Amino acid sequence: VITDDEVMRLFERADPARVDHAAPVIDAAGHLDALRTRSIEVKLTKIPPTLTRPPTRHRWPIITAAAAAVVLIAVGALVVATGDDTTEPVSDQTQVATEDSDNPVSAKAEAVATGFIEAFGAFDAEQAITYLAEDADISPMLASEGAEDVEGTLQEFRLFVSLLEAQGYQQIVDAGPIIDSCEELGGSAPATSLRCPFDFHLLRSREIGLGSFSGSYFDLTIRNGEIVRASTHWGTTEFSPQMWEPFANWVSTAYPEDAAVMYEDLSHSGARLTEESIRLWERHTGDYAAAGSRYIDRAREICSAAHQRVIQEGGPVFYNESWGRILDEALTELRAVSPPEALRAQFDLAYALVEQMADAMMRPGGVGDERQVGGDGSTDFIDALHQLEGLPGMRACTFHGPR
Amino acid sequence: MSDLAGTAAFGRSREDAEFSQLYDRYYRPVRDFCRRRVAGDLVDDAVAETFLTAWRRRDDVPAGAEALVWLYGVAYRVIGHQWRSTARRRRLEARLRSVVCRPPSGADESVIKDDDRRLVLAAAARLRPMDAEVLRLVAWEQLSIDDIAVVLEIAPNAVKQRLHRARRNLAREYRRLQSQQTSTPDAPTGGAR
Repeated sequence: VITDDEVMRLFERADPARVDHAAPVIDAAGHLDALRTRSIEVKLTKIPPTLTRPPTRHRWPIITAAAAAVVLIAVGALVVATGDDTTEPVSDQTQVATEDSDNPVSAKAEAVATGFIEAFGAFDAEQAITYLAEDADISPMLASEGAEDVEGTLQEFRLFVSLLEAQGYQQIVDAGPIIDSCEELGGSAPATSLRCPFDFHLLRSREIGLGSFSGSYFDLTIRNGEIVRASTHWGTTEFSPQMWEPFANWVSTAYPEDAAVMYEDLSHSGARLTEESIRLWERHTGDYAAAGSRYIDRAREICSAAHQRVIQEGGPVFYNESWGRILDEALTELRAVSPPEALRAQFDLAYALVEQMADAMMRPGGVGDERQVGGDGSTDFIDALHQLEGLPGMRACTFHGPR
Repeated sequence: MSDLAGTAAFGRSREDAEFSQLYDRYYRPVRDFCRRRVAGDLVDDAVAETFLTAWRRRDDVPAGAEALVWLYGVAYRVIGHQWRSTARRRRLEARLRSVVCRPPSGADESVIKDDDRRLVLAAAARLRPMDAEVLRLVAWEQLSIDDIAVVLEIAPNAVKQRLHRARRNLAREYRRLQSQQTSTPDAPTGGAR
């Protein structure tokens, strides 16, 4: 007869997870991004649980699938839907405004939050201060860029606003009145706590075709018509690798003495809140963006020239071998000058995509051939094409538009 | 986990780094926890929901090894309680219930290769749900009495009592199923019903 202990050991060995060692471990960084998105959604009150994610994150697969369908229909001629550089994805704010219309926020708190955030985004520190209670705790907001030892004084607030202006901050609330996107977090009466999401550009990211960046929000606690606590959470998942870290690498290499003034420490994760620091941030972010901007203009010119050659070339088949040679020559020209630090990652990717596309075009039959269009290779080609279209300065190298 | 929510620095923010560390360290055990309790295609949902909760409550996550126990508690409630409010979640719950209440089916079945294991899982499924959970936490998660008390939010003494009763009843049920199986010459695979 089997004993109690033997049954227990049998039960231990029956562990279903024992045979599941091959399960993939999902990358933490990627998961964080998804969590941020979902975290914002699930915190919204009175929003149906079927609320879909913002389309931003799944834009490429959708576009690619649509483009692939078009390609499959057009036998022999590759017809690619014309993209639109200016199309802004629907943001979190839009969804909130749509879905959360039955979540009234107290009118007074609403007016205060709107006024404060608009003044803040317009770098009008004095106007923003009028919304703050005399003893407001604003230190979390002032420390949000990593400044240490902040006391939360109004003088520090003015410096913080100046720092953001010097860094080329742009607060984006173009989905409508910002308060429509604020979520009431609750709080004990008579205080009201609001969470107000926003997108942003920083370090002059708009000038070099990067961003805007999402996932940020203000948390404001309002009591008796005044803000008694303010904090800012920055969505750094995309911003840090695309902007903050490349800029920190560049400035700390090119101007190490200045970097020592601009940043709190050698980790370069926090901006120092001093007037001297602010002057340096303005100067170096300006230089950084200008270098990036020049490189983008150069790339745009090279790609436009290549596109013109394609238009002159004509021919019955799109994306043929001849087009591939033109693109390959453009790539040689593009690579002749290394991208600046600001854009190194983006242009390394862009050039790899161009190379992939040129190779595909120059293969026998090219990508316009029916067999290739329907094969796996055509999907890769269209993926590359659409990725390239979204990279600064590279759109003309996709050869979209009139021939 | 952090007192810096809302004040994280740029670069790789401290809260990002802390959460990534938590995730990297405990993803596997949390996934195992979920896999032991829900069918295969629901495991990833349960894991995602658990870490979503951890992200939202990142300030509450204890430091060190206690974090895993805390995550187990979250996962336990995610599986047991949180998937109730929507149609999707009701469907999930229905499927979960089928896993728990119909012994040799669902998640466990795919890995039970012999009759002994099949029987012991069938026996466990006949226990009171909370008793079975205590058994799983002891045998599969290898938790201490105190940690189980944290996960289930009951007193350590209650855990001890349940564990004692669960072990005894598991063996009794197992022996009963075993005897039924052997007394039925042509019993179909899957044991007694």
